[in-house]
Amino acid sequence: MLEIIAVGDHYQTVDPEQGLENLKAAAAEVCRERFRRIDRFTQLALVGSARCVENTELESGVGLYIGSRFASLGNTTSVHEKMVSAGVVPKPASFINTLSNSAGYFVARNLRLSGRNLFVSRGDASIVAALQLAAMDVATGAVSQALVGSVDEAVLPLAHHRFRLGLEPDTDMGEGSHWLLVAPEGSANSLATITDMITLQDEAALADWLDGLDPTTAYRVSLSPWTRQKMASTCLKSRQMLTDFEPGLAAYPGHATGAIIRYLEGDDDQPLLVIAADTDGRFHVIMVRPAPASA
Amino acid sequence: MTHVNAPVKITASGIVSALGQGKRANLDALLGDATPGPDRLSLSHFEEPVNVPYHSVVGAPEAAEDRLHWLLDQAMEELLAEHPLTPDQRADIPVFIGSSCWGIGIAEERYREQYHENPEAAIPLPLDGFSQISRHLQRKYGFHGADFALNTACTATANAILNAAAAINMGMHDHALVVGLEARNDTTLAGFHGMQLLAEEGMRPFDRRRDGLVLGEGCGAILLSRCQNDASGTMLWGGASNCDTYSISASNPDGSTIAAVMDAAMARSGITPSDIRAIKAHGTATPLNDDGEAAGMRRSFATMPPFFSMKAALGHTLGSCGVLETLLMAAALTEGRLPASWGFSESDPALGVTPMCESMPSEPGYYLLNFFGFGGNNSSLILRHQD
Repeated sequence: MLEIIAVGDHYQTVDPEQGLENLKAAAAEVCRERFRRIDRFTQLALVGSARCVENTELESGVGLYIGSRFASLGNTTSVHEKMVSAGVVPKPASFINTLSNSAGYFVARNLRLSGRNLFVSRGDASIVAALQLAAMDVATGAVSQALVGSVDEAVLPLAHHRFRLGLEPDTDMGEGSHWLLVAPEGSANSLATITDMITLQDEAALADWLDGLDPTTAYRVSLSPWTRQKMASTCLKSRQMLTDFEPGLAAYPGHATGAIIRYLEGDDDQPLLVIAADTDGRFHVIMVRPAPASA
Repeated sequence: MTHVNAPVKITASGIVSALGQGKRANLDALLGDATPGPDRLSLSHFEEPVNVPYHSVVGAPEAAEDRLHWLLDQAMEELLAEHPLTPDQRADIPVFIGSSCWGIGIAEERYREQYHENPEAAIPLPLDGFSQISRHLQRKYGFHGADFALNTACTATANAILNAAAAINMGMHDHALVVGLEARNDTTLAGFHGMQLLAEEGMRPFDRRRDGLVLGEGCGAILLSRCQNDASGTMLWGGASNCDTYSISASNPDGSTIAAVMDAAMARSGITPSDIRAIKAHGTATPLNDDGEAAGMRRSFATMPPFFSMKAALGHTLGSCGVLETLLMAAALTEGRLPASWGFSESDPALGVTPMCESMPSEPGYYLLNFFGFGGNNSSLILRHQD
């Protein structure tokens, strides 16, 4: 279990007419130094992470964990377009930015973190993977706290982006950099407790897990956009103790983390389940219970 | 000092690399009198000539997806022949994967095909590259547990090993699978070429004439298992990782953060520098990286233990080198011999350290393995071998 002790983020619904928001000013505002040649993915990571910890004194030994489905998607598609259409060798800065952990380097430098620094991906459940890694490292003493981010950038044209994400052609698209500072179970100043971070093999395993929940408790449920569009999930619909939680976010891989933060910003006293299915039939689940003081 | 976490045993492993298919072929080459040098690849899709040395795997299919699956199958079949897992075990155990390429070669190939057919409709990166390895492990071998696609550049599988051990230490699993895979692709080769980090011919780690690295491909798989402290065989005894924010592409050349990660790995393992029998260095043969690693070793060790790099023989397999080099180290310890530091012939007085020129017998005890990567990521692992 992990206690959430601070949250912060950046979110944008992508307006197809206006295009993507320029993040240069927002990134400059939160950075201790001027980082040159950073890409949009890194800008997103810098903005979200800084907002998460702006009112928090970080302990030494904080680990950094970034989960993302595609990492630096805009920069990598640009490198491939130039490689394939014009035979251009990637420029050094562009190539370095294709490496998924470049953003982690700049976040660590900006926040003066020197501990464990990991990037992990698992489709729309990348935040589940990141939290599972953080929980392992907290439990085994490799880190004292974990700054866990879910960073996913949108890339134009949106039709291509929807294709990559397997979403319906008219889906509203978003992007986000959502961050949670988490600490060992029982830590002070908890906003909420993450009690479960699990991967279930198939829908039968999900049904079994749901059967193990307290049937007298009502739970809010937020499904990832792909799960909502593509999975029938009859086992969710048949359980009256589950009611939808609608975070008001467009579609993007980090939707689950955005939902957790929107839930914490409200005054819900029912536990939240965020569920993301994957294309191999598995389900990845996080359960968040509000701290007693705020319940 | 206190040993922080329980050790985990390297129960089974499998490998395919430029040195051959299987541990036996790899060990024979690594511990023998000579290793094959790199091939040369000419990348035909670029406007400027790109001709680079490369440690290719012999016999691998040309098509990117087939190549990725084939590499994975070679390593997994050796591992599963050594330690068959039941369907229930496979469905449950966590899978930690490290790579630098993931599905990038497949994405390049598909985009290029689409582009030649219809440039207007072609979609760059048309697939989720990070899921390609896990998907094959699920569909072909039934590994449906939690998967972790870690990408921290050249430390990806060293970090994967640390988290796999943590998963076992948490008490939720008796086993964890760690997989590292690097397959030939244009993005990586052209990217390193553009950064001018590639050697003219072969790698010379810690040599005065070192002039860069040679990339390589391969796949390694390790099954880690819960064990007792006094178990025989090779165990992961501990380790640590940190982030050096000195530069995105090189560790601090004064060696301070490299020394810090080695010191932390030894401290978490409950041992001191004098307990280390030998070091498998990261040893990329780039001037700056070898400077930093040599300086780090000098800081941490009053008396330098013997050390060597495997990369002149294997090539730099980037995110997969943590698994490939760790499983070969464990196999070499079982064999009772440490390999020579291939590619080395002339000491560099500026480094102040000299790697092993010859293969030498190994003894039971503790061994330190270093892995460093872009993004300031540093990891050190401690193995203990017991007859």
